[in-house]
Amino acid sequence: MTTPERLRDLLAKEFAIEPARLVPGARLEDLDIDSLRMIEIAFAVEDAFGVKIDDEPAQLMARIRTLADFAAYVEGLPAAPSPQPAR
Amino acid sequence: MRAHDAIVIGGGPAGATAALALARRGWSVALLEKSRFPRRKVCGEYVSPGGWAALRALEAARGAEALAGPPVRRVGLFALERAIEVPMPAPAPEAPWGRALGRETLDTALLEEAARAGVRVLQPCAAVALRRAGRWQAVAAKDDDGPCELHAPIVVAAHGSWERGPLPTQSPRPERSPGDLLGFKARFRGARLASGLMPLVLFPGGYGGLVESDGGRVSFSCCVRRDALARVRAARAGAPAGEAVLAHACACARALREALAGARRDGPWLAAGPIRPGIRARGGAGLFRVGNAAGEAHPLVAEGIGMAIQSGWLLAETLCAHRRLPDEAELDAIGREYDRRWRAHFAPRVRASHAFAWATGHALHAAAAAVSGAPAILAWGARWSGKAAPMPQAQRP
Repeated sequence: MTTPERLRDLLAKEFAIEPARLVPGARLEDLDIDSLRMIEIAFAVEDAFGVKIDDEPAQLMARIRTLADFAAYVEGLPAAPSPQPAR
Repeated sequence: MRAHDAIVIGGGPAGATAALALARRGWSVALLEKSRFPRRKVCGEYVSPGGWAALRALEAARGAEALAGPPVRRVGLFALERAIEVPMPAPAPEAPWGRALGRETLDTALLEEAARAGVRVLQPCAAVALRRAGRWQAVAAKDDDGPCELHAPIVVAAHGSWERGPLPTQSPRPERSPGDLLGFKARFRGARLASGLMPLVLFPGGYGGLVESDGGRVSFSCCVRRDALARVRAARAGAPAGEAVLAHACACARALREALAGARRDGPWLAAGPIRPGIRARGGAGLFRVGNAAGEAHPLVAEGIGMAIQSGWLLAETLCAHRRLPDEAELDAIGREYDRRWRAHFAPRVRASHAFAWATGHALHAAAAAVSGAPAILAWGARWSGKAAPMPQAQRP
């Protein structure tokens, strides 16, 4: 699966967002993702993709407008250096 | 994902202590303080033994103690023609004697210590809204650069109780009442007050206190009922409110008059209020109150800073006994546990302060005569208000 596909899968399965709404151009606010919800999503992305997100929720929300932005952002992330710290 | 373990709103002694204690345990903490430091506050400046003990436990006392006024070993009463003093009850074994230190010095030192311990201090930065989803909370804030938002499962309300604000833990605009207590404070150089003596000063319509603080200055702070203040000001038309209140207090308490005869005021009068003695309701899950935001005694017992520091310490101890990033059910349980421990340690002195304030407010002559006949009442009152109490325990032995 490609990164966009895996991200859509994660959002649909773990965050109960209707798959039909998960189109590349969908804006985060259209998907009811605000900075608070983004925290849990970001932790899930770190676990699922084995990456490390160094941004704060507010920074993420400023960088990412659409689902396509989100997938591109995840693809650009560095791999997590070691097993994820227990959070 | 970078998010904090806790966000503290307010950088006074309660917030700085909570943030420092959490950071010492490795927590990621952000603290928002709306004012630039140093700044003065309406405050008696006396830090009771339990407050110093908590600061010592956090290795944050050394600098402040070196600057503070002399150890307060005697408690007194100045009322009418009487001046009574007795030894202060000795502090608990782990605690030093109480001492006074101006808030512009104490608060700055504690916040600097918190920053050195790794607390992310945003200042000046005012919290304007709180919202939550699941176990996470967002604090919306404003600083010089505009709006910002911080996230953590735990939010500590350490914003005091005297100012209104938009947060759920802040008070809305209260109804004005003739019985409201308004606070005044000034410092003096050249006062004649026995070293190490902290007298309570009684006068019709209010009460106050004197104590030697840092730099040899004597701090006079007092509370006056709103209706009494109006009468006092009417009788001294044209005088600033603080001067009018001091003149009234001096006219009613000979020993205060003598202590401040020839003294000169150092800095302006400060005023605040109405003050809100009492115990507040617990915050929601993940929202914890410390300092005056949790509850406050009548200032007559001089426990404001001591309770602030100890409540910040108690909250940190309680939180650190649990895992970091607790879920909602755990947050609720921690809230109940902290509330129980807060009440076990502080509720008796809040209630005692209400009783003392009532007695001195309703029967000044009788109260002064009673203390004159049995000065041990003063030491008993000091003990009841926590001057000899051990530090609050997070885990019961």
